Amino acid sequence: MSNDRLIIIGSGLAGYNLAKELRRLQSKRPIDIFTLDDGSFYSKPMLSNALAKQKTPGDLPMQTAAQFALQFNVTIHPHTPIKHIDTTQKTAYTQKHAFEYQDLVFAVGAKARSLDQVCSEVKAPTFTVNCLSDYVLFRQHLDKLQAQKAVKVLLVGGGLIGCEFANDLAQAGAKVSVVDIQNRCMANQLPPVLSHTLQQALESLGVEFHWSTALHQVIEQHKAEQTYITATTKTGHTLGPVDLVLCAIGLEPHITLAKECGLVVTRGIKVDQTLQGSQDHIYALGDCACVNGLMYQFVLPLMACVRALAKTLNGSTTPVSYPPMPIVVKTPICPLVITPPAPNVNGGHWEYEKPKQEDQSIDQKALFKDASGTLQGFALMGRYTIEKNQLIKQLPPLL
Amino acid sequence: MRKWQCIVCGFIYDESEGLPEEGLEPGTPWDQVPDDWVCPDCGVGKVDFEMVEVE
Repeated sequence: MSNDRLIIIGSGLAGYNLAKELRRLQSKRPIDIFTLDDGSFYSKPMLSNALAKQKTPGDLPMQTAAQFALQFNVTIHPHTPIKHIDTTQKTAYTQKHAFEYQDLVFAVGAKARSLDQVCSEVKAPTFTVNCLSDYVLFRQHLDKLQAQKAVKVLLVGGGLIGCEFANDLAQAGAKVSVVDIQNRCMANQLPPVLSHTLQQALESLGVEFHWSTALHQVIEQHKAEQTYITATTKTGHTLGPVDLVLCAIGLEPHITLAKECGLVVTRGIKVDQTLQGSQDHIYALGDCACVNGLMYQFVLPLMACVRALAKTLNGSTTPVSYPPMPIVVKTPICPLVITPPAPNVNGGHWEYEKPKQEDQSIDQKALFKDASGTLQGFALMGRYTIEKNQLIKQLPPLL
Repeated sequence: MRKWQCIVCGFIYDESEGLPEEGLEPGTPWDQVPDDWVCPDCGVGKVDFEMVEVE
């Protein structure tokens, strides 16, 4: 057997794009990819606006595992968990087989936090969406209900993904109620004025918001052959009845396997700027990795890591650098692009642009300045989103 | 010739280079890239690309 085998655990954007990038660099080393799902290659960013784009879950895969394996000359092991890794012997074990490797990459991603982590009593089916198979289940249920009636959705979480889903579901005709422990839309990323503007835009689609609200109980009930779900808040109020519950309260990196192999794990798998973990020949990238203390769970940083790590694994050690990275929020009712300040920026404040006479209510611009007055981030809405490229040039790199 | 960049993942489509492996010959202008074409890296649609300055 070949001694320069690369093992990649995970077939999401991180794992598959790493394999593609290595082949783009003409790397001929054998690559084995292990995945828990069927290994189809799809775009995760499409999941939170698939309804608006009139996509069914079946439309989303770009390639099957077999097509990907053939095109990029890799071996894919679908539905095959890695059970154990012996980092001294450089061997990974599945249920039945052992695979020696030269290098091993964790591209295992994260899982959506489930409702029972924030709500003490959950006695109803609830959905989270962080991968295509989640989305298939969610859409099957939603489409079935939508064929019968106008669907009422309780959406737990008013952050970035919650707002994207609220927009997508409301535009598709669902009656959406958002509930969040925080007191405004995207509270961790937006200044208050823009949170309010986004909320008003979503309200124009019929979305309702319940802020500063913790859930105590979510229960499914049956009455006259109807099934519905009600929620009780910690202050004793009742929300609903609704037909389905979708939960978008953040991600938790998959760290169990990494911990079991003795790797240092903080919030994610701890790696340095070359994406190497606390042991030689082990790397991590994407939603599971904490790169130099930074945990960014979106696609631009992931791709920056893919491009750097492919070079490293092809023989030329390359530290990743993060340019300032704007996030385009998929809320078409209120176009929005944000570049939040880096976590190590101390102090600072948001400055709002005064509205001009020709501005509509969604035309908003806010700049984040640090204590010395240097631009460190921005949030642009409506027609101001076109200023993104101009502003991004003024921001310092993140890493 | 212009360049177009995926705003989700940073992939760049360079009109002068095209993408021969996807059947787009060098010199294929953006408006002749099919509407159902998707970013080869992250899979978002043509609408998620924007023009970038040629460096």
